[in-house]
Amino acid sequence: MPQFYFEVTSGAGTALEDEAVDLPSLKAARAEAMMMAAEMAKEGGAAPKDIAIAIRDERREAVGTVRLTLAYDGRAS
Amino acid sequence: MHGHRAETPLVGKLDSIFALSGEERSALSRLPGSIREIAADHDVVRERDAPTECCLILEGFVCRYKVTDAGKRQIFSFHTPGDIPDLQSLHLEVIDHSVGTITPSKLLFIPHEAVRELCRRFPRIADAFWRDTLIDGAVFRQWLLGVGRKEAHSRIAHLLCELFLRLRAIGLAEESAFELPLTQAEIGDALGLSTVHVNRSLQRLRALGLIASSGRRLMIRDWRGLSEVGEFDPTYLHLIKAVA
Repeated sequence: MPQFYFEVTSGAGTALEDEAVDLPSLKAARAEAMMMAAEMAKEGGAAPKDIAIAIRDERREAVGTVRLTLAYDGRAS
Repeated sequence: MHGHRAETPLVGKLDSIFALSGEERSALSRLPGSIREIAADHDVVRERDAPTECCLILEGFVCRYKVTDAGKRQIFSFHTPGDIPDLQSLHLEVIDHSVGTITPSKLLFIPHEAVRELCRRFPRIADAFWRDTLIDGAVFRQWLLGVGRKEAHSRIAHLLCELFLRLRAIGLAEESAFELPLTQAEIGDALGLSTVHVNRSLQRLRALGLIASSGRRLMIRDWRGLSEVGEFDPTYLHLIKAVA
């Protein structure tokens, strides 16, 4: 099964994942990254955040990035 | 192959709740049934089956689960030797979820009538079975709280605490380490998380110095810290032999 690395950038900075995840295809890797971005959006209460998840293949070459912005534009109160 | 086979994990479990009498012990050792060895990732009981026997886990690791129409699996609970994950089929004719193996497992299928007879003759054993299904409910409540309200790394910390205490209670964990029989995908199916999120959260728990792992072996480096992150309070497991 192909292996993928997921490099997550959020408010907390970038952490290079040192562990590969086995997934059947790039399509599955993309779906996993999107799911994780959605799951991460829920975390830390209602804090705004910019999440980017870069997907790398087994040679650690970038294949694509999932981005999610959780933001509020408008009156503060 | 009758006699001292099957009953051992069940005897151990019941013995941790109350001291079994000689008569009770001998009735458990004479429980009829057939032993089946089932490979990993196979169904033991399928949703909508109407079983006529209960399965007692002798060896292995088993889960209860359901699959959505879109093919997504939700695991509801994990079961270890001494558990009877389809005990409710004794009273509910049609089973509303599936039971499947996680690892290769050895199960004793006991005819319902034999379990009923055991309960009629030994009300303390019937009480213990009832108690067990109540604890199932308590575990479901804890899991629901996690899936509904906790962050990923906290859910995982809670699951690791639960599995460690349960495995330790039946002698399948060391002082502060155990074989985690689950893949990251299975942890994700249990906690409603993507595999990559499980992977990342485990790394976070490692980076915090709470756990360490090598292969399937999981070492707990900081039990208190892990319990705090998971908001884990073992009361709901109602294990008699408490762990410090």
